[in-house]
Amino acid sequence: MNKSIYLFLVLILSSCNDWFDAQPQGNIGEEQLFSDETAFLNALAGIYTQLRENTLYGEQLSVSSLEFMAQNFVPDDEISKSLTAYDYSTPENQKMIHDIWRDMYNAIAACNKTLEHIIATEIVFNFTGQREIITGELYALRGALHFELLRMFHPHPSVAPSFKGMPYMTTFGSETGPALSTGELLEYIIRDLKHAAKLLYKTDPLFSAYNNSDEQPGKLSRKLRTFHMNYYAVTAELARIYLYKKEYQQAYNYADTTFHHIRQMNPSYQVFYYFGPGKYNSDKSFSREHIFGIASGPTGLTQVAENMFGERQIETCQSFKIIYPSAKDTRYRDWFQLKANTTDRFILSEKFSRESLLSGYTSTTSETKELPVRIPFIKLGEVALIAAEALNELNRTNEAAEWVIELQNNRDIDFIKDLKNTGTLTKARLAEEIRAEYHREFYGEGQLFFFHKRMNDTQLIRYDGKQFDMPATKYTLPIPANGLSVN
Amino acid sequence: MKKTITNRTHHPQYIQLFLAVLFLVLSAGQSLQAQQNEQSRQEVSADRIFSGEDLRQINPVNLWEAIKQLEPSLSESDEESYGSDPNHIPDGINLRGSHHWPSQSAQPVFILDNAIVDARRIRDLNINEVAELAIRKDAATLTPYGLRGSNGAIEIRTIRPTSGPIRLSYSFDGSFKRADLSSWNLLNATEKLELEKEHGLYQSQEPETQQQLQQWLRERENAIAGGINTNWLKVPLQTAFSHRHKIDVYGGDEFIRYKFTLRAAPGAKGVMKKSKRDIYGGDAYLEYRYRSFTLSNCISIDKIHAQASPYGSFSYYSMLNPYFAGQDAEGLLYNSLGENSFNEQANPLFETSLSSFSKQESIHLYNNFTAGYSFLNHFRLNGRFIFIRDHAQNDFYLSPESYVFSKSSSNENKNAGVYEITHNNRLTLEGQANLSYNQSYIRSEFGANIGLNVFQGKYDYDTYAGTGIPIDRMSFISFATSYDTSQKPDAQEDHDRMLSGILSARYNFDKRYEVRLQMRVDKSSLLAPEKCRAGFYGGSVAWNIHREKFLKDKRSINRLTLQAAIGSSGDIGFTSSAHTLTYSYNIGNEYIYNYYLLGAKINSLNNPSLKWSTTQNKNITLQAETHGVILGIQYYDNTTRNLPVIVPAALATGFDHMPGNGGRIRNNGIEYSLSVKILGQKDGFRLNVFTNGVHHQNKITAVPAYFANLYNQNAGKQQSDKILYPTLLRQGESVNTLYIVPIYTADKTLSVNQKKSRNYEDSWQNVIAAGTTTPKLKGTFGFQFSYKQWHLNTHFYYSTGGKIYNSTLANTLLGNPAYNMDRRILSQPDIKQGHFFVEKRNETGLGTVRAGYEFTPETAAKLHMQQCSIYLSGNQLFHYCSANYQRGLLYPFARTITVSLRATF
Repeated sequence: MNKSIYLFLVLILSSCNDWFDAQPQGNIGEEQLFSDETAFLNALAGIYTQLRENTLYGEQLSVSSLEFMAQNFVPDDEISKSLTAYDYSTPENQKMIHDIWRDMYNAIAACNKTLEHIIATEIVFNFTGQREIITGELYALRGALHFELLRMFHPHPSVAPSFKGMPYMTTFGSETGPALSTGELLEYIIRDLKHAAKLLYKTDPLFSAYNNSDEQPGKLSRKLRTFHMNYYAVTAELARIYLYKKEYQQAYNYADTTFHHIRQMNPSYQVFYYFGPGKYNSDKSFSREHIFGIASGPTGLTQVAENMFGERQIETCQSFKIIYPSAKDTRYRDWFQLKANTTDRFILSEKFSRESLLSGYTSTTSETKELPVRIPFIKLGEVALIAAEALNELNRTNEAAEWVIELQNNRDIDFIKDLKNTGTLTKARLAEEIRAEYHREFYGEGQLFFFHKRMNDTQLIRYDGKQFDMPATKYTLPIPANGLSVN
Repeated sequence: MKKTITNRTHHPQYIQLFLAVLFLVLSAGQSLQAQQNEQSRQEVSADRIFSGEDLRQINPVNLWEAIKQLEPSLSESDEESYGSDPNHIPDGINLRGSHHWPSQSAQPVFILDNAIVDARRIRDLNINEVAELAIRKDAATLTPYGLRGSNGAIEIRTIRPTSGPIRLSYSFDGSFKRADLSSWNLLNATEKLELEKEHGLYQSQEPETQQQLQQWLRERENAIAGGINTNWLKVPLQTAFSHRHKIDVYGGDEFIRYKFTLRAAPGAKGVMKKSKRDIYGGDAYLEYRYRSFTLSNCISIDKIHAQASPYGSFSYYSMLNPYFAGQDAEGLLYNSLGENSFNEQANPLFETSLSSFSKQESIHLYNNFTAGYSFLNHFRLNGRFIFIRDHAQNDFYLSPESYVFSKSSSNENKNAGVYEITHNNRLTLEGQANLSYNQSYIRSEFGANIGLNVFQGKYDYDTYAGTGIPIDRMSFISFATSYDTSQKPDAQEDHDRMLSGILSARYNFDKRYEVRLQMRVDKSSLLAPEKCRAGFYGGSVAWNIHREKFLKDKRSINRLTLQAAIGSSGDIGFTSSAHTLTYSYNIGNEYIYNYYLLGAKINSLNNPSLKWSTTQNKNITLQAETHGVILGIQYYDNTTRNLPVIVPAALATGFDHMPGNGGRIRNNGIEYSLSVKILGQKDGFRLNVFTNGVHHQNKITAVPAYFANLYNQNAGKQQSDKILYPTLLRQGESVNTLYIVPIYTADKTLSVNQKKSRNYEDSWQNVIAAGTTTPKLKGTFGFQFSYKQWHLNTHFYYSTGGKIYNSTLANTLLGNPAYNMDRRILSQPDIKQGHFFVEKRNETGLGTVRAGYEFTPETAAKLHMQQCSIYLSGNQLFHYCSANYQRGLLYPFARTITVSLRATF
């Protein structure tokens, strides 16, 4: 009797733990989602979708708050005014900062959770290289997004090298890592991006030239690579980071690698390239030049732009004419419009307008469909300027000038070309021109503020044209309450 | 020990050791079966045990109403709204107060012959089947319910056949029901039109509108002059007659006992027209004994046809204007009342002439198999296997000609008519194994019990709707032309699996002192993966003082027992998405528009070590019996901890907050019961009076600030009434506190209209707590009288000290005079400073009066019957409340008269 009861109990008590793992249907549990290959694509798409939220690149980090902080627009209400004054303590700005921190880390958390699964999964992926590509993109996103946070919440290493602020999150959960110094963070970021580059090298569809008929559902499409963190986006991002660290040789190397796609790939198979003057049809934001851009929702960036430039009629800064001295500049011609009933006030109304569409992308069903405006994350213009600046700092001014000339040719201006030809180009003059190009190239993209921070500019020109002192502390956003731990 | 029970096979020797120790430990079992032992009848605890007869005395047909009437500590959410709706299955049921936050609802666990069943089965159970009902409130008796025990337990044992020659018994109940409209006082046609004129509804600045308004005024005045004064309240009502029948055939000998039952309630109607719940069913019970073995099996099938009244919710009729008639002089129905006027309303006579309906058909299958084996004189091994399968299909059809669709543009007429089908399924499987040991010595008794339960439940539902039905008569899903895009198909499947171990022990010395210990361990699939095992402990001591030497000789004192118990039980209170990460697809928000790259995003941060909430119960009971007086007093104090809350998270996790545990709710109070035998068996007269009651308090003793803020902000978004705010969480208040928007603390000089037009957007921080709905004292009283074959019993209920938000008064004074109103509007009451429409609620009523006649065996024999009795009962005949508000907003309350016949052949 003893033995049979014991046996009975043992059978009952030791039997499958799986019996307790009954998940309700209707909700998709983690284990259930990642039991299938397309789940990884879905999770990845989910991360990109998170990035285009208004709290992040959909509005604040692209055309709105960062641009006010760069003094590119004239503020029209209390909130935008407080941003131009760098008053981070107002309730609205505190909320904005809180949301940026939280939503950026949310995307990072999603990366970590997906990485957890893709590394451990035993699923065999149908398409070769798919697993490496997705894993590579996830590492790249993790690194790049941490760098975005670093640029905002940490002072530049040359100003305060031992500042500790952000954690580097590599696992999903309720535990956060310790606050790390800028140096340590940059080390982790670079490590993740290099690992991503290794995974994406040769597996990324960008490397091979093939036809649309090779497109298949469930497979990462070659034509849509620039909507993802592709190999060249990783190298471009590394170039940007090394420039931030002022390691010029490395910065130049990665910038140069990024341009291999243009220099080496057959033009009919290139997915990103310079838009020559008049060659871009209705694509006013020149999105073919984006190495990586975030797809905006059907009513995403265009809606925000319409609100800012259509309804609120937000003007560009007073020194607009100084920024764009030439009326031939394609950017001046196609991004801006004269404000109604004025003769000298301009509005960035065309760049992200509804009419500015990407055309010519064929979907898997072979219908030509148009894609809405894209939010640039990193583009050719920036990489060219990184190469130029790096070379210039390494005292190879003539080589550096070539990069700027190429960019300016495609913008239908030639400030440097003439100087170089007459042999009167100096390092300082080129540096000045590069600075000027930063003002011109990134209008409405949220990059200028970081340029000033990187150059540690102590004096800036405000939106009304007046110069003012910029204390170094204002370049760093305050870490929100509960950012690292709950108080 | 807890560790060993769920340990893996890595350490089999521990399990063996554990079992060996267990066999040496001598303790006693605690289950309703064990209560058949003599010892248990002496036990005193906080539980209340009722016999089936006690229940049937209160209500001859409705088991749930009888339970609610008998047990004052039982309360149901929304009971004021649903009245006598036969199809309403209660959602939130609290026993001894609420152990959870106001936004959640919970129920006690319902046990039928040791099987876990749902509230619906109790609602539909035939009251004549009940042998005994126990309401478990005691700290120690709730411990064996483990994770299900926090909200109490209601246990029912059904009647088992005794051995004897074959017998047939028949029971019949015929009920007449009429709606109780005593709280409804509306204006008649003349008064209403006067009111509208006073409020200037027929005046306008614009001459064209003024002309139109005056024309309507004339039309209505003519209608009234022509005699129209519709009492809309009567329109949906009927005097319902329903009848129920039950036939039992039973008998048996020392080996086999059997009982077969057929039940039918074919005309079980409610007081609103066309609402009904017809139940047909049968049971077969077989029991086999052979020496030390017992086997029994009970199989039961029920088929239910239910229909909701197409007349909708009752309060709608209180808004219809009495100067409208539903049909014209020739009897042709108007499409709507007051068509195109400023107070146009749907005509219920027209709506109900359409083919719209809401029906439910369900089948319930129940099988309960037990086996028992006694051995070695002291041991008994019991096994039980339970299978329950419920399947229900709801069909809802809204005719395309309904008023609802007529207001939409002609393009949308393609989407007129809705046919919706919903399925609800429930499948539970339960296995129980139980070993008990009982041993008596000269002066003491030991008992021990170890049990193992396995429970598996699967609950699923799905719902689909079709639309585009062209003609009213096409009342079937096949006529829909497309899926209803305004409500996408929905489905959900939930699983509930639990493995439990129960251990209990009992020691009784000299029938004077008794100690009981209980323990339960649960492993559940609903719990968080890192905290999937829950343990509960409880114990009680009892002292039969009347057996002490110094009281033993006092014959007058039949019983004086003091009992104290302490124990814990639990409740889950969260869904699996709180501890397991879940994703949802960004439908409608694809990453690259038109290219179908759908994103999946994480819903929220999960907490894999989320805990269940634990209630620690404490109670002390004193029971005294002397000279025909039985007095019981009890004090209880229950604290619930680790309730599901939301805790802030570090933002670097990517989220603002995550689920956690926290907060404390305390329920405490005093219960008393008193029964006095005034006349006892003298000349055949018997008179017994009784009263009982409970004084209960509920308090939120702790609530984390972050969670309270989030909860209260969210509550603000749910505000639907102008004055009554949804319940908030404030430390120190109760979960039943009424929260009022203080609009009247300001300017008293404002006219009623001015007050009405003020913006009621008040933030939750300014809302005032204005008393709680929990009564200070709630209970019952009555008497039982019998003389020879006759008996008469009454059962009253009372409640005092609670508060109620008088929504009727609020809607009258702040409502729209275009619709009909309560008569109080005529007396123009104004609201006093600080009144807020919260009034004292002192109520009492006659729940039951029953007269019966029991035939003597001789008289019965003349009719070829063994036993026969006839009863006449009246239920809910009289109700008084100090606050004057409309009761039964969705379905009216009813007064019932029932004639019952019980005969055994």
